[in-house]
Amino acid sequence: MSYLTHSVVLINVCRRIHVVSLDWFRALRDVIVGSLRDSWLPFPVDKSICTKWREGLSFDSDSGTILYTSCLYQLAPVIERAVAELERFGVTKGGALARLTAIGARFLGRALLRPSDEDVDRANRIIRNIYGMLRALGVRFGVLDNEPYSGALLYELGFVNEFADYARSVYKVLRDNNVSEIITIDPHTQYTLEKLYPRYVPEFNIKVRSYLDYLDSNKVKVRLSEFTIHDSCLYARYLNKYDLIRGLLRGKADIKEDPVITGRDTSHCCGGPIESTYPEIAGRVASNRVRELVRLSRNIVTQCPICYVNLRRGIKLSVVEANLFDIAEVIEVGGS
Amino acid sequence: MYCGFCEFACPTFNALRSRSYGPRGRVNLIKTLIEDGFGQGRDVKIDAGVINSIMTCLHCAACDTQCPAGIKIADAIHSFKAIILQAMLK
Ligand code: SF4
Repeated sequence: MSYLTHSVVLINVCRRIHVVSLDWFRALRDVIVGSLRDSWLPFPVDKSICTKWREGLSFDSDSGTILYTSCLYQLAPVIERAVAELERFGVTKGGALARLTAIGARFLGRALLRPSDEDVDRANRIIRNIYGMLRALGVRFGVLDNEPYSGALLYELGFVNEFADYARSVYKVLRDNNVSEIITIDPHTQYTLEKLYPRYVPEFNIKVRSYLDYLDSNKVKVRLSEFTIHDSCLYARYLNKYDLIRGLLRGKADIKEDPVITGRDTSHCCGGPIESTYPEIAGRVASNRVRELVRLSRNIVTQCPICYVNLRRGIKLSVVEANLFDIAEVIEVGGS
Repeated sequence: MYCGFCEFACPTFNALRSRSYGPRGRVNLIKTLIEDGFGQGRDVKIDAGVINSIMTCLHCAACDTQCPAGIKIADAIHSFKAIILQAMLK
């Protein structure tokens, strides 16, 4: 038996539970590409959710630096909701259910999706806290009136050509708005702009930094007394932020760490990258991760909105008690 | 490509306890598919099981940190994902 055949046999044993058809990838691609073309967002959401956090705040419109949310904190709960709906109808599965893919695509492509008010409020609080910390540190920045999504999801799903086309159009928006520096607030956007845009848009010459890079650890206070950390794989293993994050937190709270569970090399993923294609497997990965983390602490601090929604699902699925926070909910800069 | 040190770090391997859902299984599948000419114009049939094995990788790169040979496993799998999608969703 060749290795390939052997592997197929092994996989077929499991097929009952998680076969997905490529039709679903095709449907998802078409929805995302169409939505990006129509609205610069990957799903047909109510666009006001992306800018609501700005209400009542002032910006330096003459600055070449922008605070760029890519709408990810606001969109993450939308993706979570859409996936839960689609999973309920079985559209992410193949075989006899393949015809439902078309229904799923129509659902995702036409319905105007909206997160719960609670999720919108939470995303806004997080972004406003990031805004406040940067302002307290004297950082000057503006925002784009019509902020485009980064395109990260296309790349992560494997649609590299579609991503490259889209990245070029986003770069044009940034260039037309005279953007010289971008402050990101999540790891997916940071990775996409810092590592992928220069690869796929050769003329891309904009400096990209995470808001975490601006924070002065001497001025950062931690509001939670005891917790463990769930690292974003991108921050820890692709973007070298593991020590930076600990530098902001250590000595200011009782941080429960373990060399393997919260280690830079070995900490497990939340399952997020396959939540929209293999939600069942993503759920198992998230449940495992939550069970590991609660061995250290019931308070889990994340750094990424995608990790947050996936671990939230993991908590539900594994029926454990845990409190989830984003790092921007537990830190502040004196007076922010 | 045979030691399997990478498997303990892999979240999907741990979740599913199947070698096909771990880095070693994925890399070996990719190697076989490339040797068979997949993505190079040759008509190579791959079934849903093989697709699932590759497409469920999280690109978390935990495997990369364990590989004594320094193989960029996560990148290789991501590149192959793109090849599968390009070849099969024309
Ligand atoms: S990158 Fe893929 S193969 Fe490697 S550990 Fe993560 S999920 Fe497993």
